[in-house]
Amino acid sequence: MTDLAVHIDRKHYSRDDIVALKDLDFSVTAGRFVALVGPSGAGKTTILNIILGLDNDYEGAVLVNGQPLKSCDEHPARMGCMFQEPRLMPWLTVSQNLDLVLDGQPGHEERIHRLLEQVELSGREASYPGQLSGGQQRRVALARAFAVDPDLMLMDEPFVSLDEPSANRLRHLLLRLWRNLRPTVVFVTHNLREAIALADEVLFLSASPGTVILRLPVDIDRPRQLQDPAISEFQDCLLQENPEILSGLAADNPHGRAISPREQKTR
Amino acid sequence: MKLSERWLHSLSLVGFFALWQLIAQVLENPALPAPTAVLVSLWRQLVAGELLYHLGVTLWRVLVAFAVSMLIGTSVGILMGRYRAADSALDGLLVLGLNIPALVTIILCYIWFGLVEAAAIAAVAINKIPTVIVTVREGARAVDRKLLDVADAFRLPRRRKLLRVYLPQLYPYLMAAARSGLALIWKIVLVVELLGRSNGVGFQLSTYFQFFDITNILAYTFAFAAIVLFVEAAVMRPIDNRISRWRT
Repeated sequence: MTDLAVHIDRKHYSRDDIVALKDLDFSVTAGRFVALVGPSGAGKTTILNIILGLDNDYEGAVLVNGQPLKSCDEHPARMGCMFQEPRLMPWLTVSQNLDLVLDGQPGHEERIHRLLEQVELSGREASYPGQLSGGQQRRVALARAFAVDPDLMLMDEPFVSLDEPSANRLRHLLLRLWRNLRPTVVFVTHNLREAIALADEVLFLSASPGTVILRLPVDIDRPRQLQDPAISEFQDCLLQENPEILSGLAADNPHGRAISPREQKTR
Repeated sequence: MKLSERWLHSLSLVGFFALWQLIAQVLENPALPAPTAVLVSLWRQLVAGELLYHLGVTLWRVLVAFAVSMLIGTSVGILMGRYRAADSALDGLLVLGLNIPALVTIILCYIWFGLVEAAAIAAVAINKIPTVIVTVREGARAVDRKLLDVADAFRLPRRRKLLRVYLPQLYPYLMAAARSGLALIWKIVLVVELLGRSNGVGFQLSTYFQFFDITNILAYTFAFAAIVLFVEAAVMRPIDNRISRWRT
């Protein structure tokens, strides 16, 4: 089980000296599923890169089980992650892509087999990513993220730019895997409905420089169905109470699809 | 290649040799021996064992020079593609290296190091290394940072990251460097042998040149062409197929 605490005093984008994150503070209790919601440019991806150890150029500290994280080579927790794109190695087959992160650990073949079963991709072990559909590639990426039996799972809008049925299927698979393995999850999205449907708690980020402006526990019973009326109710309630912080989010969208900035302008 | 394409491919070769044979028979000039005469001479040389010896010596030099060039060229190419400072520091030298005539490096190597094997190999390698660097540098610049991030995020050990995430992105470039490398090295090795070695195909060619023995010059050329085609079919193409299997 892994507790996560993030304190970022200040983070600049190196190129143009713009402050990306300022006085950002949040913590996640072990085994909880937290969604980070915020407008584009709030620094959501930057936060994940910092927790992942890919970005060390910031003032502050990330504590994993109380231990500070500074170097990229060592991390006090086993981590799984999913990015906005599947980012599979195109020259490796599906099972080789999973094997890449497992490194022939004992029983890795059964593990790969079982994971592919869980993401409903049995029989595609020998396919290359280029032979899979976008949704199937994400499912492989999801399996890869859980392959390492992570204590900490970091997800950066992993289901963005998928059609809604595929995205829902993936959300469903994600919840199932999470329920079985119970890693601590930080899930970045700008889709409010997705955040409410998945998370125990939703953190709202301000526009740049990003900081947490609202912490909201989601007390809807699990297992949840994504179409549950309770989710819509929760969302409507939230919108009425906090209209100001939700501007810029895909809140009034009945299908839970994110709205692009251009669409927002025309509304 | 489709069957009809393969037919066209061999048809053009057959046509070429037929035409050559025809012209040679009409002219009856020792400056243009017929392909059949060349083949007879090739066979004679082969049986005598001389051809195989000189081909072997040349092949060995090609192999060593190739390995040295690829090793140094790839390392420096990755360095220059990856680090801007290395690129700025070495770019001037690279342009110089690309433009020095092969003949100059060969002569200088022989003068400075003597007419020895190492000088011959060095001369060939110096000619080849810059072009390998240019190709590999291009590859190193095109490496997808996002895939390296995946390797870092999952804490892959350095070795696995290199072999399974980094190098596969360079394979097409290494393959291109190897192909053009072999083509260039064949040619330069012959010149090196002609100028300063006492064996190898280049040396034999210079001997036959002194006697105006065109039949034997062409016989060696045939043998050489056969080897190049063999290397392409038996080594390069299978490797190429293997590393680009995923692109289908």
